Formats: sequence, C-alpha cells, structure tokens
Amino acid sequence: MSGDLKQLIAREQNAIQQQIRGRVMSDPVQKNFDVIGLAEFTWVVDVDIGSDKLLRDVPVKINGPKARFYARVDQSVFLEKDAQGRYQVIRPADRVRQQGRICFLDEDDGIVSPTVPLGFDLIVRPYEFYKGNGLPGGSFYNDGVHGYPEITKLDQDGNEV
Amino acid sequence: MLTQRRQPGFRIEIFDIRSTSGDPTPTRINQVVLFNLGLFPTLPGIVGPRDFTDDCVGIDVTEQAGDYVSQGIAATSITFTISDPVGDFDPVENPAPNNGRWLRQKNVIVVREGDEQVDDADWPITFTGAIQGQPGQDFNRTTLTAEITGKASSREVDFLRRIGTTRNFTQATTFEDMANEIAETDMGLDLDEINLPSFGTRFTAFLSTQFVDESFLTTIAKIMFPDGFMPRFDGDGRLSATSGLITKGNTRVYVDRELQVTIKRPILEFNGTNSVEILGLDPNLTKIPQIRQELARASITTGFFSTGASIPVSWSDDKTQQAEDVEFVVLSSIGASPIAFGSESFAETIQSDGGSVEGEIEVDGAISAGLGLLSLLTGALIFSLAVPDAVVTAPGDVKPFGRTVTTFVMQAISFILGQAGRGEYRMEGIPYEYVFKEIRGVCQVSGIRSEDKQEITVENHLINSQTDADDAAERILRRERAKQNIRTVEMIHDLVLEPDDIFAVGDGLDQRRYAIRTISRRLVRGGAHTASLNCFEVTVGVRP
Repeated sequence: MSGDLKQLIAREQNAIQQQIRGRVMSDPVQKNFDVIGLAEFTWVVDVDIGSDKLLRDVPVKINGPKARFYARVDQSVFLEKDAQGRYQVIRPADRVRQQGRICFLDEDDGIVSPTVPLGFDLIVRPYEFYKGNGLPGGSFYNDGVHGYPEITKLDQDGNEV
Repeated sequence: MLTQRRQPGFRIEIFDIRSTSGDPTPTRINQVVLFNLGLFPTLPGIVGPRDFTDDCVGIDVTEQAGDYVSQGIAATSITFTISDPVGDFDPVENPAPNNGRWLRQKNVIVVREGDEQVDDADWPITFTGAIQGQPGQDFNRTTLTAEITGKASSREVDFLRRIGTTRNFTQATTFEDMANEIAETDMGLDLDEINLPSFGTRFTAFLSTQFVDESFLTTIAKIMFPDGFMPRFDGDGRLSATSGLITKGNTRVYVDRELQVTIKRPILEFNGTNSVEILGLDPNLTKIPQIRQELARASITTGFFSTGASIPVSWSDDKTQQAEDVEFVVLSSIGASPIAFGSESFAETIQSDGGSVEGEIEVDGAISAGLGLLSLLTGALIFSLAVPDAVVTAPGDVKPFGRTVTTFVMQAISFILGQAGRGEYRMEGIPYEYVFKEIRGVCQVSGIRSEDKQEITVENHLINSQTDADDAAERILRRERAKQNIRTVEMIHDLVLEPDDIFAVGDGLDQRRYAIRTISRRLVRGGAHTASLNCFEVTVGVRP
C-alpha cells in the first residue's frame, strides 16, 4: 500500500471518529428538517466544530423544547454522526470550547508568525425593536395604509445601530 | 601498548534473580542496578552474575528515542546469541537449578562496552534490562552450530505494564516534584535510581491533580511534555530523561567526518504532519448558566387540625444541581381559602458562590386561623341549646325553633372543621454548572492548502495557559517537520551518542546537524561495531 493511500485512509478514519466537541453558535430554531417532507419539526442549531466553516442546522438529538436547555448559544456540546453520516448534537460537553489561537510557520525563513484567533467568535446580535406603525393599539402588520412598522436596532448598551 | 586505533569490546553478564523469587526478600532488578553503581554491598551468591561474554556469538542492540506525539515511550532492546553446543544453557532442556536457569524470563542482563585497551572494569554499562519471553534454540546440522537466542528489553517495558493511580497532588506542586515522587513512591525506585534532569519551573494549576489508571512512566511523560522531555532508562538502569528539542546543542561534532561511513537521504514518499493542534485545559472553572426554568414543584394540603409544616425542595434528586436567582412562585396559597389557614414563605440555602442546591418552604399558623371563630361558634352552640325548641307563633301553630338554631350553628362548625387549605408552589431559577475551559493552540505550516493539511492533535491537561499551548504547538510542529528530513547514517559507533542526541558533521557554514531516533548495531568479538542510525536533519534552513 502506498504512503499516499495510507494517509488517505488515516484521514477517513479520523473523519469517522465517534464524538467531537463543538460550540453552539445560534439560538435553537424549529425547522422542518426532513428533506423528504415528513413534516417532522426538529430543533436545529449552528455549531462550530473547529473547522473553517460553521455546521448549519445541526439537529438536536434529544428533541423537544428541552433541547434549548443545553443546545443554545455559546454552549459546548458533543456531536455524533447518525446512521446517514449527519452530525447531531447529543449532549452537553464536559468542557467549554472557545476560540483558540493559531500561528503559521514560514519554512523558508523558519519564522513563526504571531498568533491570531482561531475559530468563530460570538457577536451579540443587536436587539430589534418594533416601533409600531402609529395605529391605536399598534400593529406589526402592514394594514395596507400605513405600511410596515418601523424597526430600530439597539446594541447591548442601548445605542441605535 | 595503547594505539589510536579503536579495539571495541563488550561484556555480557546475567544476574539470575529468578532463583531468589521464593526467598523472603527476593532480589529485584533495583538491587542489581544499585550493585552495579556500587551502592549495594553484595548480592546472594546464586544471583551471580555469570559472565557470558566468552559464550556470546553476538548482540544486536536497538536503541530508540521516545516520542510523545507518535510512538510514545521507547525502550532499548537487545537480541543476544549464546553458543551452546551441548544444550547446557537451554532453560527448557536443562531447567533450573541447572545452568538453564540463567536464561529464564525476568533475569537481568547487563552489557558493558569499551575499548579492549582499557581495563573492562572502567567500561560503561550500556544496557540493563530483563529477558523477555522464552529464548529460542537453533541446532543446525549444515553449519554445525548450536545456539540459543534470547531477547531482553530495558526497564521501560516492565514499567509500561504497571498501571496505577497516583496520589492527589495539591495545587502548586512543581512538575519536578511530581515526577520524582511518582518515580520513588509509585514506581518503587530507589533515590539513587532516579536521575531525572531539572526540567523547568512549572507547577500544577488545578486545585487537585491525580493521574488515574495509566502506567506511571506514561504519567511522567505527560508531566514532562510541556517542557519537551521524555523519560528513559539509561544504560545503568537509572530513570533519566532526554530532551526532544531540535534546537538544543550538539552532543558531538565530527569536524572531519572521521566516524561516518555514509549519510543517505532516502526517498520521502509523502508529506507528513504540517499542522499541530495542542489541547490543554484552563484550570479556572467557567460558570455555564442554563435558561431560566422550573427547578422544583411542591404542594401541601392543610386542614383545621394541621399545624405548620416545612417542605424541603431541591433542584435535583441528588442535591447537586446548582441554581441562582431562585424565585418562589405561589400557584395557590393556603391562605386563599374562605378561611385563611396561615401563610407560606420560602428560604433557600445559599452557598458560598451565591447559588443554592436546595431550600425549604415554611407553612405556618394553620390551626390558629379559624380558632377564634370556632370558639365563638362553640359559645353559640351552647347558647342555642338553651333556646326552647317549641315556639308558639300563632294559636295552635308550634314551630321547632331551638333545634333549627342548633342545626345552623352545627353546620357552621362543620364548615370550619371541614375546610382544607391547598398550597401549590413552584421554584424557578437559573441552573448552572462549572466546567473547565479548553485551551487550543495550533501551529501550521504557512501556505498549505486544505486538501494537503495533515494535522495531529496532542491533548495534555497539564498545558494550562494559552502561551504554553502556543509554545508546545510550535515546538512540536518544528520537530514533526524536521522528522521528515529522514537521514540514515552508517558510522563507527560512538558510545557517547544516545537516542534524541544531536550530532553535527563538518564545521562553519557547511555544518549539518542530525537528531537521532534509533541506533542499531551488532556487537561481535573483534568486530568493527558499526552502527546504523536513523536520524533526521535539524540543520536550520533544511526543510522537507
């Protein structure tokens, strides 16, 4: 067996490792996840597993509203592949995974670059406030006359963004 | 007469410690090591040693460097061949107490090497180890040889088999102290058998550190990893360590290449590791709150004769779930019935961090609530009994009056006594846990494409800061890259060189540096003692 082949097999073996740690990067939302349309609503979250892209819409195995107790923004979770090879969140992780740091070795001059953050950072989303459309009682819908209500966004400190 | 020309020689001795295994205090390899160091007075006569040098056809020696990242702890192994024309030393055919006893498993082998021109008492010990398994026998009618071949390994093999749990080391124990204590207490080594180098000033950051269910030698490797050392038993059989740093100084410099026969660079078939991820653990616990939720529910039913009650509540059955901002929500109060049966209050048991795992609902004053009214009604009952029963309302029309009054009073009393107060409560709060934060440091060769990425991950919980993780990632990546500059070196064996040593060839700008991974050589009487070295080049600027 050639060395290249051995290397590729090793990579495949690494890819099927049983459980990996990740960090939930979005609020859980209910989605009609099943593509063949069985109308099963599932709680899904986006997860950072340390690669350069986020895993989108990862289903939470222990489902129902209770899923939100641990599969929520900034929580560390364990992920496992299901029978179809899809990752799913299975339980809270035993330790917190946050941003790491990475540096690069330039082999031409042998110098290592200063470290920079590695992985995704959590940014607090601005709060959205609906000012209403000025009708008595307020309405968040377009009544055909007054148009959609005005929306304003405030950051954590209350400043308009 | 002394000449400049080397006349390499060796001596092989076997210590029969197996024959003392039934003694009250059997001889162990520790005593053999100390005996050879001149620190143990005498060994039992049966132990020997017996000198097998004249019987020995040859010894193949393989010394290997340990590597925390790839193969782990390595040992030195020897394969020795003894000429045995009449089967005298065969442990199967001529077993103990005959001469076959010497080549039994677990007996200790010591090899000394030196120059024949020097007194062999001054030769250094290059191997101390124990015989592994059963020696093989070869009677060859063609070549008319009769040989016994055995194998022995240095002490690492024995210690890798021993699995155990260390004691709990408190915070701020230095890594050096931990390693030395494990060697002495858990591995059972005498202080003179421990020759660990000084390796840094780190100390444990966690409140408690304990190594569970692993070989103690692996534990010591873990402890030494942040400083780049690996444990190893030296030729004398003492626990020592080697540094895997590729930037360390040269053990030897061969300016005019006097010992090297060849230095080859084999084909490198594929690219190896080009990214290293180090996972450590932050010693400070991080608080992870969950969303606000119901923690517990409780209910109580009270009646007229009920006294006060306390209801203990906790946020988990085992009383370990912590929560903060606990709120006592009264879904239904016992005071809400027509007759107030008292009131309820809640107190949580606050812990030092401001959270709680349990609390108590106090329900009080239940019986006193209707007591006044009841006294009044009891009086009314006594009074009603005095009311005449027959009252003439019109001539010839007599109504039962007293009986009616008594009935009303009795009904009022029954109503009070039959009242039940129903209290239903819910505790809401924010459960939280404390968990450790992972530290992650990655060092990667710049410019590699994602499909070419070959990453290894090293997890060591004694890496407790981001700086340590970054440093370790860089150190390991540099070493892993250098390991791909494979060189095979044939040279006249230099006894000074050991695995993990770096030697230099040439001088000035032409000087090349090589780190040793394995040294293989064959010792034969009167032979040249050529060694085959598996090295990797660590000259600055040389890249795979």
